[in-house]
Amino acid sequence: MSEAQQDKATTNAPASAPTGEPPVPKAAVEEAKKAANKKPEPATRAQLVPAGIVGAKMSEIERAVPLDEPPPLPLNSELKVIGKRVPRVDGRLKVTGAAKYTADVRLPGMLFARMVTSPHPHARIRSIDTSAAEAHRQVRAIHILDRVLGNAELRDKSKELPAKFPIVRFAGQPIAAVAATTQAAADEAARLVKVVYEPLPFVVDMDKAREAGAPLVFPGPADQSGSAGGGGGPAGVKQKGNVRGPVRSGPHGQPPGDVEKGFKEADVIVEGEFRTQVQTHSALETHGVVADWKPEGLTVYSSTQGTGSVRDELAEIFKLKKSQVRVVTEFMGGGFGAKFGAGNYGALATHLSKKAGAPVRLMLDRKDEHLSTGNRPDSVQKLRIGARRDGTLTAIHLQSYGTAGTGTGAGTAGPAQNMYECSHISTEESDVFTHAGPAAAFRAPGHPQGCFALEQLIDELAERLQVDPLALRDKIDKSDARREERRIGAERVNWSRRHAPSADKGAVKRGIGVAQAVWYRLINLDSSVEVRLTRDGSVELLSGVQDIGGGIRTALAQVVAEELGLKPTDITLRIGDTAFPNGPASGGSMTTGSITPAARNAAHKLKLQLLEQVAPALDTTPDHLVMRDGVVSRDLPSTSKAYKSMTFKQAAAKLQTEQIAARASRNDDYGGFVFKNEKDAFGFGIGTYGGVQFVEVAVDTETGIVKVERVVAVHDCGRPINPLALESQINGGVLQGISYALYENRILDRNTGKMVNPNLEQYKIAGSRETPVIETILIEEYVGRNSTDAGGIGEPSTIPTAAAIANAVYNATGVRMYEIPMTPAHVLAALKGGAAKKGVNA
Amino acid sequence: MRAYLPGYELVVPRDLAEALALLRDEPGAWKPFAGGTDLMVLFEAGRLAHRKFFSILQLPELRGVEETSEHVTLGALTTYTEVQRHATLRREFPMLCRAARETGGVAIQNRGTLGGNIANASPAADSPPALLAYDAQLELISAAGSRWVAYGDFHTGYKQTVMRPDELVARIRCPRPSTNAKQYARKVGTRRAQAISKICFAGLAEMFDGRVAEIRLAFGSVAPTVVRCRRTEAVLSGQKIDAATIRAARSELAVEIAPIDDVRSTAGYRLRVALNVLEEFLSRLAANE
Ligand SMILES: Cc1cc2nc3c(=O)[nH]c(=O)nc-3n(C[C@H](O)[C@H](O)[C@H](O)COP(=O)(O)OP(=O)(O)OC[C@H]3O[C@@H](n4cnc5c(N)ncnc54)[C@H](O)[C@@H]3O)c2cc1C
Repeated sequence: MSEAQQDKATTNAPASAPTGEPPVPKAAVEEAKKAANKKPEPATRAQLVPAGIVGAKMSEIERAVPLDEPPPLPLNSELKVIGKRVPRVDGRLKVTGAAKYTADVRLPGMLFARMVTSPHPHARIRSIDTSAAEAHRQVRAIHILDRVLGNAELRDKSKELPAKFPIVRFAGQPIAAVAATTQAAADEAARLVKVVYEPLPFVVDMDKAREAGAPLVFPGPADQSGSAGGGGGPAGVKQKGNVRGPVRSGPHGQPPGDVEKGFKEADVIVEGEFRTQVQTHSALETHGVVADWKPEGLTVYSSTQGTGSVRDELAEIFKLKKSQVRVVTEFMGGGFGAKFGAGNYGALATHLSKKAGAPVRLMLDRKDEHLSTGNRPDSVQKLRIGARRDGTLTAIHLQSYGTAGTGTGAGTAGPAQNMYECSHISTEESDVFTHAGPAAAFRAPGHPQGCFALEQLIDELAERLQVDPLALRDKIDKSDARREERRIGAERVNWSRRHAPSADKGAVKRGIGVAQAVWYRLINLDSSVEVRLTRDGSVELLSGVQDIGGGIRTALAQVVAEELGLKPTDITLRIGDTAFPNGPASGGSMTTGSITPAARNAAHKLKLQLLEQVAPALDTTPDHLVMRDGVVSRDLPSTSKAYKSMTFKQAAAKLQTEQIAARASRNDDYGGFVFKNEKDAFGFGIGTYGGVQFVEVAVDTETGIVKVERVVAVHDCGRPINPLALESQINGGVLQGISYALYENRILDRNTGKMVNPNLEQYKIAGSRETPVIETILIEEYVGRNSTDAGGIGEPSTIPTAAAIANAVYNATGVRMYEIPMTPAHVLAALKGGAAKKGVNA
Repeated sequence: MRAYLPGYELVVPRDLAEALALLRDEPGAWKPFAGGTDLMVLFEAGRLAHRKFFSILQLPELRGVEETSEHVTLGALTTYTEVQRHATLRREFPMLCRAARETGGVAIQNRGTLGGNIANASPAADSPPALLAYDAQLELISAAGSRWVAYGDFHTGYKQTVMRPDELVARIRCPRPSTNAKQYARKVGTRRAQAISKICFAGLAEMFDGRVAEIRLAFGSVAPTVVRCRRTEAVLSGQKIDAATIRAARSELAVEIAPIDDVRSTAGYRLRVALNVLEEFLSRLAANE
């Protein structure tokens, strides 16, 4: 029986039955086959689940719960482990340096590799001479790429310029790699590879690339494969020159509305052109792998946020069975969306390992990281909003352009489409190809950009309508979560003391601003977990899911511990390995919402097996037993005569076999999805996440320096599993948002096409001294759609920050910032009513 | 890309005499390596052209802070952390302490030296404006002996100094400022730590009878070298500080400095902020703050 079928069989078993393979008559098999073909709804029972926002509005609603899933959890306040502030189970390993990251992997005979990359932004390679490198004493293998991953690819391959090697389309594009016995030797040998280029005309500036006659990035329409986490805009979009689009859309992915009509209905119209810069992911740990090719298969230690997606991509490239590829990510130092795929470095390291017959380590340096591993596209957004005098929105019209370099996916329309009620919404998003490294998904793709425009214009609308920005949002925003978040945040920040714009006297002016987020309930159904119990009472959880840094290890431990009446530290976690049941990729803030229900369901199945085996010893049936505080007992007061109990350990010792195990995968949401993509097992859940941030700034009008002094971040993510880890995520999101608003900027030199600041010295990221007081507040919002009701926070937490800062700067100075980063020079120029020079990190 | 390490040489002289002998015997061949916080950045970027270095960090002759009633003298190897911890410096040389506090981050402050900051001769360095405003002198030593030069005369052009290839910076001597002196320093960087200045200012002045008796103004990042603005000082000298003198000082400063566009800032921004910072200092003097 395949795993899938086994799941199906257990899905249909009654809740109290022991799992495993029941004896099945032949007829039943036929029956099951028919049923499997029809894809019936799994057998369910009706159950009341808590719904609403704690402290605001709570009720119970009925949901159809699959029979083999555990009963719904009560509110967090009634739980022992879930919802408690649990320190990371692996925190100690991390702070003591004991945790092994990809760069720490040392295999016997391991070689070190270095990529050869192009210094030219656009070129045809005439020849590559590797003889000098080959002659280097310490060199063991050299490989030249015949296909570049990450760049968009021509729809019609015959349109490509004739060339022996892949065309170079950005400075920093990988061409080859060299493996040697030491890193220094690999670095040295990489310099010995002689590449002769025929430089071609290039364009790195988005505005220039849009002009007629601009050098073409692709000689025909091109699409970026979204498979392994490219930014990946929609495929098949019409393209003219370097401009791909526009993609027209309306609210919630529906067709565009009639904005002409909407503007006619408006009493007030506000508009503006907003610009955002390219931001690189700059995770602390750079991309990299150790690839170990053996005749029987490939093992790759990879810094990835998708062990499964890396496995799949490598299996495809090297024509291996998926079972022959094992990807391991025990610990990783951040990805932010840029680490789903195998990457050119991963393919190169694998080729080198195959050629050299030895493991090969290829870690990128910071420069490669900035140039070739992804970024958040820039944007120029023309946004227009119409409203009636009472605030009702009649039209939202967004036209946006952005460059994802040689990739696609620079759209910004998410917030405009999904945040507010409005009768006519139309968005037009275009990608502009430039000769720059391809973008990759980046923490809420498109949303920080989109919010920067939308939330400033909503504030401007409030000012025009002479209403408080919060009151206007109360009127046009239908999200209950955000309404509550605005109320709580306003109270905490003491919003009522907010003064009129530029009311402060002296040189330093202070202000308060607000902005909000919208994000989606995305679910990866390929989320599986196995839980094992061994006779000595030890419990293990196994899943391919990797901990990108959000703390999923700890959340999984909590969920299993809660179900089994244990402590999180009682659970041994084995994750980040494709040898285990398939885990979801960590993107779209999906991990917790995807995998924790699978973990709880698996733990529940395991519990039923255990109870079945120990019930006789407690003189009862399994359904009369409970497990809590490390004890298995009859569900009676301990004072009762019939009360009987044994410790969890004693219960485990009664197992008939040395070990029992149970497996579960993520089921569909209770009540289903808005839509479901069968091909990649992806569900788009009903409802959205919110998040509202309040920011206090001080603007020095002599130097133009903006200082963020305080951030109050109020967020929702369903049922919070571990508020401590969630706060860390929010802190990180806020800091990355501040950094985006004020500092980070990838600068390309228009004359050479090269990045001017490919390091962390001149590519500035907010540091500890820029860290304001951050107050995080989590509301509990229950929607009762799965067995944990948990959601994600990684992305929502960074969406509104830049917009809130801009609104605060306006409140401080009376001057609106239409462009980020808000560098001192930009701010000073804006205060003087001018515009600062473009393209400098001033 | 990081430079090829085996391509470099680093020796560790036993004492100062041996170090100076190296410089004497092969002039220009060897360069000192102090904290390495400037040199390693070049190395990491593959831009460290010079190949032969000798360490000076272990030489006690270049360490320590001495005080007399007239002066405080700092060894070239004095680190930013040592500056910040020194009681007299904290009391009497707040601008130097502030520069030390705002240089790099803690690791850089533990490792980077004043001598390295001076010898590296970057126009964007943070301690030099303070040292210029304190009227510091430098002791340059070689196998042939020692000489003192006024720090104001040390920098002659972009990355050019009066130091000979066989010399080292040994000590930095600052006259102790009078207790009446007003000091004001301001670094404007992209971030509050780990950021090279967009502009950096140090000003020291003494007022007598409502008039400027003595004034020294120094800027970083507004010219090919760190600069004392003597012409602007002359405009202010002997004057009362009022709106008119501030205006005159601003106009003079605007022609005395020549900032440029670079990756950290623009000429226009630097000029505007330099004028604003000068005005801030003068307003404080006028208000006797
Ligand atoms: C992350 C980072 C942040 C930084 N931030 C700042 C900042 O905010 N402000 C700032 O001003 N600087 C900053 N720097 C630059 C650097 O830290 C300082 O210039 C430091 O003072 C250099 O001292 P060092 O001892 O490390 O010099 P080294 O790197 O050892 O030497 C620098 C140069 O000086 C020469 N040299 C050193 N000592 C002597 C001597 N006694 N006599 C003659 N020549 C000598 C060397 O040959 C070399 O050419 C930063 C550097 C880094 C890496």
